[in-house]
Amino acid sequence: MPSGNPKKRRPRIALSILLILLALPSVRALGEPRTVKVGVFPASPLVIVEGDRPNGLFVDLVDEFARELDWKVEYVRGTWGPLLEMLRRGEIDLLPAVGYTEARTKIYDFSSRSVFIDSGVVFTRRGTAIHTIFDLEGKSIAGLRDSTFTAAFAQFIASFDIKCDIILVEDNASVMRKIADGEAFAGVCIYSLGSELARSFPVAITPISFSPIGLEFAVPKGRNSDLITGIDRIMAGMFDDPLSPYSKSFEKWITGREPVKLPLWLWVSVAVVLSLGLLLAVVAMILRHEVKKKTENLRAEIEQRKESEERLTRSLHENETLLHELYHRTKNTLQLIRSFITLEALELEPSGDIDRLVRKTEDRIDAISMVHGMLYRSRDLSRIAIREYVQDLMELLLAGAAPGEGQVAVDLAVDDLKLLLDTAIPLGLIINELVTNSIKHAFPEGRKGRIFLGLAAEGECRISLDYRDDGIGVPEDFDLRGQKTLGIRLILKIAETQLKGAASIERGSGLRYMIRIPTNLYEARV
Amino acid sequence: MAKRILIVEDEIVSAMALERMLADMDYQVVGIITTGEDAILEARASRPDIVVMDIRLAGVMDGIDAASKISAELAIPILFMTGYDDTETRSRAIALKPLGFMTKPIDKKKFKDILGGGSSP
Repeated sequence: MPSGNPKKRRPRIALSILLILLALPSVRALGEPRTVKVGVFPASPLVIVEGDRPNGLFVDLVDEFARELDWKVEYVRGTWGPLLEMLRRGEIDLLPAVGYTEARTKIYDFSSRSVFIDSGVVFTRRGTAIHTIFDLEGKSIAGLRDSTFTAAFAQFIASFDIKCDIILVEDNASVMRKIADGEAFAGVCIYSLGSELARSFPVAITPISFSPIGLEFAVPKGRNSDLITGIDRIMAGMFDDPLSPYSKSFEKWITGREPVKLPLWLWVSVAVVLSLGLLLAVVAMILRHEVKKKTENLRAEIEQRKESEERLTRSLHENETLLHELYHRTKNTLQLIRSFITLEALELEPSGDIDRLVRKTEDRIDAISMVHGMLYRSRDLSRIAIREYVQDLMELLLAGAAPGEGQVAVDLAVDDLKLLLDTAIPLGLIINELVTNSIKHAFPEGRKGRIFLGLAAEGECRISLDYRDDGIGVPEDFDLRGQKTLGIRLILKIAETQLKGAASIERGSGLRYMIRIPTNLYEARV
Repeated sequence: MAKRILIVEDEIVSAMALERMLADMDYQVVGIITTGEDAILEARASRPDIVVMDIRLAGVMDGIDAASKISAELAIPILFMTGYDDTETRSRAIALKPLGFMTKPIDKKKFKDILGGGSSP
């Protein structure tokens, strides 16, 4: 028998149909996945929105739920406050990382266990000292709008009777930006995300933390209970399993953050730079070694050169000393010869010829000896100062010839020249003969007179000797080259044959000899 | 006929003394020359029988170089004289097979002996 009155059963059937119709939005055709709109907002590492696809601890879990519960997930990106409001209005189905509070349980349904426990933390600019909550008195503090941490912070400071100006912003990055820009003295942020953001802003964490709170999945109140049921079921088996997707994701994002993956090109670049650095270091080492070796060689070479130079200097000095000694000995030897001649002459019967012979020989020896004497005294071993030589020679000749006191005056005009020994000695002999001739023939019977001797450079390679006396002169028919006297023959032979010069005479008031000789016939021999 | 001698000596007083000595020995001095270059020219011009050559001379060419050219070109006998009797100089000079090699001061007798060796007047 059918049970009950059909009229009474009709309202029950209608109620059942109504319930079924009400449940329709959550009923899906067999085989079709459940579409779930999941709100995501910047909350790294819990929820990461950078890149093409969201990521992070909560997102890994959503993906796991989608696999297990056959969800088709549509991520809706946004910021915290607006997403929370969208969840309340049912415009999204699920919101991760929502702090569980008693107040929110009136608006949202939460999964049964916290996925992550986090707390609020105060951040400030790097270099700013904040030690206790009292350092925030009267300061402006940035906080996320509609955040449970911002609300908890307000209660926290109120419990210490501290007043702050709280600046509300739309996302956690803005909290950090306000601090960085100096618009806020400090800011409140969830610890996990704040630590991540602190890497991109010049902010530092402070010791002030508050309001530990469990973060869970939330759905609109009274809706999407199937989502919460599914989440709870899947999660129940994952908390204690170290190999569960939850545990793995937790280790990945929270406890054992994977190191930042550097792009291959960066690794290659680093490798290239390191290789180049190594290569340069090796090259530098080799070069240093080479430089050291060369420096040592150079040092040794310098030492050797120094020694050679010292030896050379010693040798030069010795040679100079030897030459000085040689000039000295030559002069002394000449004087010795002169003395022998003088002494030998004294042994002979007095005679005018012998006196003349002795005197002329003495004068000629003196003219040569004087050059050696000057070289002995000079630093220059090849050349003598001709002006000094001519002055000394003239004095000697006039004194030796013994004319009367003041009988012959001498005028000298000798350039300051330096002549080689090979030129100076013949020149001295020429002067000797010229002066001897003047004294002997030009000023007879005590006649007073004057001798002029000029010696001047003519260009770089020639000198001219201008010798004059104002004596009695020579006859008109005087033939210079026809003279047989040794004196005149010596003058011509020395000037023209030996020194390759030219000699001539002029008659006038007295006699004038013009003799030009080259000075480049000889080269310095020492 | 007296042998004709060319004196090549850059110390004119020594050359004049030598000239006098040779004249006393009845030789004829055809000239006194003081450089090697002039000695070659004079030898070509006057063709002496003997050249009495000092080794160290004024100018670029020394007596041995000048003698070498004169010997090779004119085959005139050379008598060297020098004040510096070092081994190297003597070796160079002797290589030319000279009439003689004398060191200064000139020993008259030795000089006469050398000149008289087949070449006396």
